[in-house]
Amino acid sequence: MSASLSVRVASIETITPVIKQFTLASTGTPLPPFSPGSHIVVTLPIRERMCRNAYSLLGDPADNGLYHIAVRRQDASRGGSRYLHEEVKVGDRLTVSSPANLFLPSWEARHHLLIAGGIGMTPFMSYLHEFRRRGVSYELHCAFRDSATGDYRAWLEQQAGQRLYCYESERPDFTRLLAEKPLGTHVYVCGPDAMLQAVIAAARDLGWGSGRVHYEAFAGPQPGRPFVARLARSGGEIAVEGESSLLEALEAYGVEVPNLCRGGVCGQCRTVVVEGQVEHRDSFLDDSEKQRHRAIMPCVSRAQSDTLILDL
Amino acid sequence: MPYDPDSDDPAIKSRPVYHSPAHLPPANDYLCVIEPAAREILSTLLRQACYRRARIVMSSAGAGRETVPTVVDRDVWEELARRLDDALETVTVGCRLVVAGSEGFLWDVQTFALEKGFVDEEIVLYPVAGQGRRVFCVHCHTLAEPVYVSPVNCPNCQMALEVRDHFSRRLGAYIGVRIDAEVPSEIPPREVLS
Repeated sequence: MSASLSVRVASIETITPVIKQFTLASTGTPLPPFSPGSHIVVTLPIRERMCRNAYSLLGDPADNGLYHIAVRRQDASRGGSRYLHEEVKVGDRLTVSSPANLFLPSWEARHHLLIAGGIGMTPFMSYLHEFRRRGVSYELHCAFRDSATGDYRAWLEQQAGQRLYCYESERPDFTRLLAEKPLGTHVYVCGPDAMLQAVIAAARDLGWGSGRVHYEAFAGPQPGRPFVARLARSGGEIAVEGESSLLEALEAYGVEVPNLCRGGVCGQCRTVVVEGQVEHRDSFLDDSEKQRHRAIMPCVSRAQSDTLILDL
Repeated sequence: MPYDPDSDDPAIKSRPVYHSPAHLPPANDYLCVIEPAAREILSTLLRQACYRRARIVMSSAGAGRETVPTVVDRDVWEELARRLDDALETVTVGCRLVVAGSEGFLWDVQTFALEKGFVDEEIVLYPVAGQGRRVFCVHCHTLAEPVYVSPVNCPNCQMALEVRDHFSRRLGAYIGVRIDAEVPSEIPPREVLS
């Protein structure tokens, strides 16, 4: 993981009953700059274990004094978002990673087609600042499950004007959105996995080369069945709780595994499996790799078997 | 991987390997850009199926002959680029670009197309065999084409150049480096390039 930073919670705004925006400030040296589409990983101490969640930076990349993240309260998740909503107060210190970017705009694109599902609009908020400065051509399609999007929608309307298309409780027709686009268009999608898969499939069916299709899942690790991870090389044995990801359990045990997105996309944390059946939840490994059960992405994936032996 | 001169693998990673598919990949629209010497290749491909839409833009390079011209002709290229620009105005995402011709031509068109907004996976390249290499003289920056043997004399600075397998996609050319730099006038016999 990139170097960790200590930050102070400068302010907390309630955007909607389920979304809070946290503004994070430096506690000493200035915060490192970031590019549009970047995220940080926030470390949260929950019941003696560490929960690490990735959040997009939604502020203006040119304003490098502060980091802004939006946290949607996920009651059915592992407790990270609940902790931020209920426990964290203004003035608290938090540990975050330096910004990393797996979702940078392709600046060679002639037209940017942005598609967001719900809170998936946050990386695009940082895009819009930079798009305005560069004067690039874009359109933004936002699908909301409910109309409770509060100030963010007003801000998007003000920024994007006629280029903003909103969909409430209906899914956009992705094939229609992607049809007959001028050469040089790139599509970006951030939202739930089903939306990502639908956009990727529509693009493929229309003959879009994969190089112009960009996506970022905002879903972090989901809870699952507890299991035991055995370390073949160092000989350790780790009990992975249902609420903890394998990566978090490894980190708590003191095993450092390179990682970046913590969402099963970037491939950094790929770990060799010596024995056991994997419950694959990532979108990095291909189908044949998944069937072989010789590799796991510990940031999101878990074990089907009671024990997983890892080459660590 | 370390360089192994006896390996069957292409030791020079920059040398392109063409996976030209025997059938055109499925699409609703094709833009075919060819040199005259590639007419047979293209007609074979187009005869395989009934396509919804296919347009052909042919370079005038070597028109009336079956070989490519002996020098890189800017006027021919600029005239082709104008016609490509016209064709691209109505191209939308999903079109497949089919390029067939000499190796240098393939990369000229590929570079042009990437600048205009195509991405790699939307482009298929069909090299025409026996058209020789385009060679870039690293000493005077002149392009020579077609080159069939190494060493070859640079048409501009006359230096005896060893034609390397190192390939520049930007230039569509193999790199030519003075072969007698260590011992002047010590020039090995010519070999025919593969």
